[in-house]
Amino acid sequence: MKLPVKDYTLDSFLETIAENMDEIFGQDEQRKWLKTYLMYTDDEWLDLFQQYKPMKLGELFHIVMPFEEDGGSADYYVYEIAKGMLMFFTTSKRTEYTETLKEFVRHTQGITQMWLPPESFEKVINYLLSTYSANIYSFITKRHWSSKYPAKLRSDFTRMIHYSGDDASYTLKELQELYGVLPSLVDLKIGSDKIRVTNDGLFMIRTINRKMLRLVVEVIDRILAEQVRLRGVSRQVEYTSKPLTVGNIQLNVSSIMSGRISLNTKLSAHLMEKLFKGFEDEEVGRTAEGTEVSEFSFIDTSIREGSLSFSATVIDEDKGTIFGLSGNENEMILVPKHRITFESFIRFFRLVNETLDDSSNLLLFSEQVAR
Amino acid sequence: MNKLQDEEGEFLKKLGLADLQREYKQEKDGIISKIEREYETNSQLYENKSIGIKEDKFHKEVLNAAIFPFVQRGLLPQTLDYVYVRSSPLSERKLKNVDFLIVSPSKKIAIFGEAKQSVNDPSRIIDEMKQRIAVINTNLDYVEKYITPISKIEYVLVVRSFDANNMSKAIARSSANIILWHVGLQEQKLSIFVPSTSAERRASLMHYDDKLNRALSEVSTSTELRTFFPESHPVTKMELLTGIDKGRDDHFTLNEVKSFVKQELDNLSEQEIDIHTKEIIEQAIKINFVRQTEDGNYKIQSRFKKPSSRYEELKEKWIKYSLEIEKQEKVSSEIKLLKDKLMEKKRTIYKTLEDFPKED
Repeated sequence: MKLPVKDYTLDSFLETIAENMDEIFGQDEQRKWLKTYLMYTDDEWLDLFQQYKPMKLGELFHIVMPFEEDGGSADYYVYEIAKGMLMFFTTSKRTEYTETLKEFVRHTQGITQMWLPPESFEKVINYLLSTYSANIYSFITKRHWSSKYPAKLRSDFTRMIHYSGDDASYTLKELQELYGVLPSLVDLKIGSDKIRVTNDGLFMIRTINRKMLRLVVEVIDRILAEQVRLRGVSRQVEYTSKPLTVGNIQLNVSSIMSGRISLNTKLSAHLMEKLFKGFEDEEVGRTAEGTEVSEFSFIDTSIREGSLSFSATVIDEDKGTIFGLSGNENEMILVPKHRITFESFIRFFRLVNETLDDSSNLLLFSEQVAR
Repeated sequence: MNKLQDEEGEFLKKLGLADLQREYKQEKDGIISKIEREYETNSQLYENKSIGIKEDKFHKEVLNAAIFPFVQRGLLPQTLDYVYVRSSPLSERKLKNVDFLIVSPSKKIAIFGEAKQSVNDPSRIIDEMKQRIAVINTNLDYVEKYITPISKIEYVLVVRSFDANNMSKAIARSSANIILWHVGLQEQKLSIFVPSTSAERRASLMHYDDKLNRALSEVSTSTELRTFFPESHPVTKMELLTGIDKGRDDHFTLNEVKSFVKQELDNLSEQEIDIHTKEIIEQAIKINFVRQTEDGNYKIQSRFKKPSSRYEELKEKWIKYSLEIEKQEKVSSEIKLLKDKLMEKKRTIYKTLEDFPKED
């Protein structure tokens, strides 16, 4: 995907894509999809990509990431839709994306793939169904055995259902009710146009036209507020140390802002043990694309049964972040310690949401205090 | 080994008599195999070491819960003006003392606190606290490193909520002016204990600053804050190494360890930070959890990549190492006793031999 080098606004960028469809996506049956990956980043996100020498094209940036020694590369056009919320447009294949942007994001502090909590993801799907009279023709739904989402049948089983069929819009609701599964990937048809959305913040469109391009931006706009909030909260979880001078005495005064995950369903000692042991290598938190999103290690753990309380040191194995975790049956406190980067807290919140409580909420410690 | 062999040879020479030498060798072999067997078969020895690590964790939880409200923003009223200074005050004077120091820079109040994860014998705890208070009082120049002039020094004991009643009664009965805080782990709350004594006695068991008394009523807290303190268990002090190379190169530097230590041990001097940093690395090398690389950096020595698996390995390596040291010390001390016994025997024999000709 190469676009003429000039200054773009988001509108003119989308216009250019629509006007040069055949050139960009090919004309044959196997034409490429346009993919939009959503990412949360630090405010100074351009610094993260310095090694790739981003080229400014008006409101967008062009970043070329090499994936092979023989010169292969993937092109990304980046638009900052809100502070630290990026849209990466690309036609790269999944493997190319995995080798480039995904790998980069996995090990770089200050950036992570966006995650749409169940409520936001549902909002996206419902918006497409109601506003665009979309029809779901395929989806993937999942349930972890420890999930508290109501299920009529065998609620303590881990399951994943991949369904294709013209009645998928109905089936999704039925399976959700019966098996307590939540969608992670949904394919929809809008007339003859096709769109795929995942809870990892991936939007793929097969049919490239003005309507579909606009739609992607419009849908993202619907969920932006919650995403901005999530990023904002996690960025405020921090550790600072400031010098304090009183007379001749100089002290370093530490202060922290902890995070808090409030739970709607009560935790048990058994569940905490499972969490601390990484659910014994079960396939937890796999994304629609089958990759791991939550690689956390829990060390120096303690769990008191009965009136539950627990604590642990948590290490984000991908990012290197170290934080403390304590809590009781109603909440978890995330205490920032070393190598803090905001996305570790989002990733951890996702792990809790997908394995323990799908209606949990990430807040600042002080938010609860103020209640 | 050579030194040991030399010592052994020298001792045998000193012992002289062939019978005694034989007896020594036999008994020594017996001692070694007895102790070897004991350490191989007695799983309780391993278990006890493991319990030691757990107990340190429980102590850390109570201690963290005591200082957390003074570090977490927005928990105590900003105008209150109390800050957490450091753990293990007086440690640089090689004096075993309390667990933490909190000061009010504007009110010139110092609060020394001790955390107890369990209370078996309240009066013993009070006696210990009294001794520590006496040490603090003979080191007022130390307190002045953190506030000057000192208007007031207060002493706090922090216990779990279910121990608070017992502890409070013992304090009230004693002559000590010790303020009691208690931590509810399930509720994740820290509170001051208000004793039901005469108003006059109560005043000496509460903070002078009434605003602080009021603020310390079921204040939210967390049992997580610092990963380790200067007097923490060696395993606790090494635990951060399990993830030091995550999201980074395989190798790590002394400075990376130092930056962890610096943040964990608030307000300790640069010199002390260096001592603790070196100690952590040296200990980890000794137990074969870390090795030094050719470029002078360090690398984790583990079968595992995952920090949680490494942590289990770290505990195992430390326990095995410390049991080995303990075993060797036990062997040495029993052999020393044996040596003393045989030398004594020799003296008796010689005395007899010397006496014999005279009698003859």
